[in-house]
Amino acid sequence: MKEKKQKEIVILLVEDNPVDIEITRRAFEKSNIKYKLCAVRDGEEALDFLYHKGQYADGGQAPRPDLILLDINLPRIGGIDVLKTLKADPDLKRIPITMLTVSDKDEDIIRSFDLGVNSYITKPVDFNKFVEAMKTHHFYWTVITELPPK
Amino acid sequence: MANGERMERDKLAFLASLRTKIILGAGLVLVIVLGVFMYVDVMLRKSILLEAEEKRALDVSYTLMKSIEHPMLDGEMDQVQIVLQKVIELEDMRVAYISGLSGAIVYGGVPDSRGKVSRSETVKEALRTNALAKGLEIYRGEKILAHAMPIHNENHCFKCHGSEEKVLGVLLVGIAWGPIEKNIDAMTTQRSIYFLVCLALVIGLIAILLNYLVIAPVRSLTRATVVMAKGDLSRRVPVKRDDEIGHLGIAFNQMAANLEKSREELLQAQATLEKSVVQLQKKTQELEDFTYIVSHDLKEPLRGITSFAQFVLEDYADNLDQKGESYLATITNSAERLKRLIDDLLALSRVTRAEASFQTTKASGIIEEAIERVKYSIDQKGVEVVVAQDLPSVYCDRGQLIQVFANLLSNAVKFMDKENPIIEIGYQGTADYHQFYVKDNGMGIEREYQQKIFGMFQRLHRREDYEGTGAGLHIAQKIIERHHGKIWVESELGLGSTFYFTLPKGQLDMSGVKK
Repeated sequence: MKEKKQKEIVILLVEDNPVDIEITRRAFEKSNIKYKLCAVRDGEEALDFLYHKGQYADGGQAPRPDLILLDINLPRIGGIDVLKTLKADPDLKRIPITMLTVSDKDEDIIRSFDLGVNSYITKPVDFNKFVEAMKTHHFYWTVITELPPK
Repeated sequence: MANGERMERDKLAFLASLRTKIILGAGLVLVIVLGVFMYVDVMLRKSILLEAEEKRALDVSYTLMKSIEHPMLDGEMDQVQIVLQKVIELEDMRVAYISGLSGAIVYGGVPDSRGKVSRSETVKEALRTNALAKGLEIYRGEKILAHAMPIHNENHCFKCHGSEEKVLGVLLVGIAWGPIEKNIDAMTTQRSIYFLVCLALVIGLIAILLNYLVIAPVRSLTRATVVMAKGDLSRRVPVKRDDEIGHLGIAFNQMAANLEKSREELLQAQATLEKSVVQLQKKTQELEDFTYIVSHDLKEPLRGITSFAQFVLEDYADNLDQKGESYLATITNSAERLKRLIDDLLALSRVTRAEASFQTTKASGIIEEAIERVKYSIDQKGVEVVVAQDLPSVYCDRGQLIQVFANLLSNAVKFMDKENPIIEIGYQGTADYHQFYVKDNGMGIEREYQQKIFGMFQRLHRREDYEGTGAGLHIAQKIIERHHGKIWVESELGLGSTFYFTLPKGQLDMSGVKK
C-alpha cells in the first residue's frame, strides 16, 4: 500500500476552460499525492491523446492515464460522447472516469451513470471546497481503490 | 301497466293543453248562448203556431156566427144544424156546437150530441165570465183546442129569446190538437238539429282559428326554445305575422341573436384568454429557464474570480501592501456576495421548476427539521422557540415546507433585538385552510414595507448591519403560492412580527385541482 502511495499517478484532465485547468492543477498541488496531470482542451484531443493519434501520434507525450477527469460541456466532441467511446473500448473501459462538471442536471447525471461513469462531481464555486472535493476524490481513487494494472 | 300509465299521462297532457282549455271554455259559452237563443226561438215559434190556430178557431167561430145568424132570424133552425155539420167536415175540425145557458147542447155538428149536457170546462168558463174562453181538453178521447164564444143577446134576438138574458148561449169550436202538436214537435226537432250543427261548426271554426292563430305559432316557439335550451343558439322562429305572437317571435329571435352574439364573444374572449394563459405560461417557463441557465453559467466565471483572488493572496501576499490586500479582500467579498445571490436565484428557480412531490406529513416533524436547520443561529442568540402542541398533518411538498419554516425562523432570529427573545410557532385551523404562524418579539416591520418584503432581493437594512440577500421571504412566498396558499405579515414596529401562511385542506395537485 505504502509503496503504491508513492507511485506517480497519471491523470488526464479534459477541460476547455483554462481557468478551471489552473484551479484543478492547484487543487492537485494541495493534495499530498504524486501525480502527473495532462490537460487536453476538447473531446477530440482527449481521444487523440488516448489513441495516440494526431499530435500525440508518437505516443511519447501521451502516457496511458490511471484516471480521467472529464468535463461535459466541451467543444467539438462533448464529454458524454467521449465517455461513450471509452466505455465501449475493450481496453480503455477499465480506466476510471470521473465527470467533473458544472452541470447538475438530472439527465446529465443519469446519462453518465448509464454509460458507466465511475464518479460524478459538480464543481464547487468556492476554491477551498473544490480543493476539499479533489482531495477526497484523489484519496479515494489513489489510496483506497485498487486501480487496474496498466 | 306502463302503457296504461302512458295513456293516463297523455290524457292529462291533453286536458292540460291550452287548446283543450280554450275549446272547452268557448264551447261552454257557445252552448249557453246558443241554447238560450234556441229556447227563446222555439218558444216564440210555438206561440206563433198557437196563435195561428187560435186565430183559425176565432175565424171559424165568427164565420159560424155570421152563418147561423140569418137562419136563426128566419127561424130556419134546421139550417143551423146543417151549417154546424158542415163545419165538422172541415179539416181538423172536431167539435162545433151551440149550448144553452144550462150547458145543454142545442145544436151540434155531431147530431147525436144534441140534448146532452156539455162537459167542456171551456164552455163553463165562457158561461161564467160571459167572455171568450179557450183551453185544451179531451173530447171523445182526443185532445182538442177548444174555443168557446158567448152568444150575446141582441135587439134582433129579443123577438124569440126576450131581453132578460145578456148571453143566450155559447158556440164551441174544437180543433184537433194532434196535428198542431206534431207541427210544434217537428219545429223543435228541426231547431235542435240546427242548433247542434251550428254549435259543431262554430266550435270547429274556433278550433281551426285557434290552432292557426295561436297554438301552432306557440308550439313552433316552444320547439325553437327547446332546441335553444339544448345549446343550438342558431335556431330562429319563423315570423309571418304582425300580431302579438308575431311580436313575441321577433323578440324571441332578437333574444336568440343577442344570446348567440354574447356566446360567440364569450367563446372568443375565452379563446383569447386561453391563448394568453398559454403564452404567459410559456413566458414564465422561459423566464424560469433563463434564470436557471444564467445563474448557473454565472458560476463558472465566478469560480475563476474567487479562486484566482485566493491564488494571488496565497502566492503574492508578501508583494502586496495593505491597500492591495484590502482591494483583494473587496474582490473576494463581492464574489462571495455574488455567489450567495446566484445560489438564492438557483434556489428560487428550483422551487418553481421542481417536480411535485406532495405527501401527507406531520407538521410537527416539518417544524422540528426547520428548527434543526436554523439551530446554530437560534442557540447563538439564545432564542426560546415555542411550538404549539397537537399540530395537524398537512398535504405538501415536505422539503419545501421545511424551507418555508426555516426561512421564517431564520428571519425572526436575524432581526431579534430583545433581551428575552421568543419565537412562537402556532396553528389556527379553519374549515378550508390550515393556518400556521411564526411570531417573534423582534424589531417589527414598518407598515409601508410589510408588502415589499416579499419581493425578490428586497432588503430593509444595510448590508453591513444584517447579512443576507433578501431572497428568503420571496422563496417562502413562491413555495406557499405553489401550494395554493397565502402568506402575509402582521407587525408592529418595535414589538415584533407575526408571519402567517395558509395551506388548503384536502389534497390539491399543483394546478389546484382537488384529488
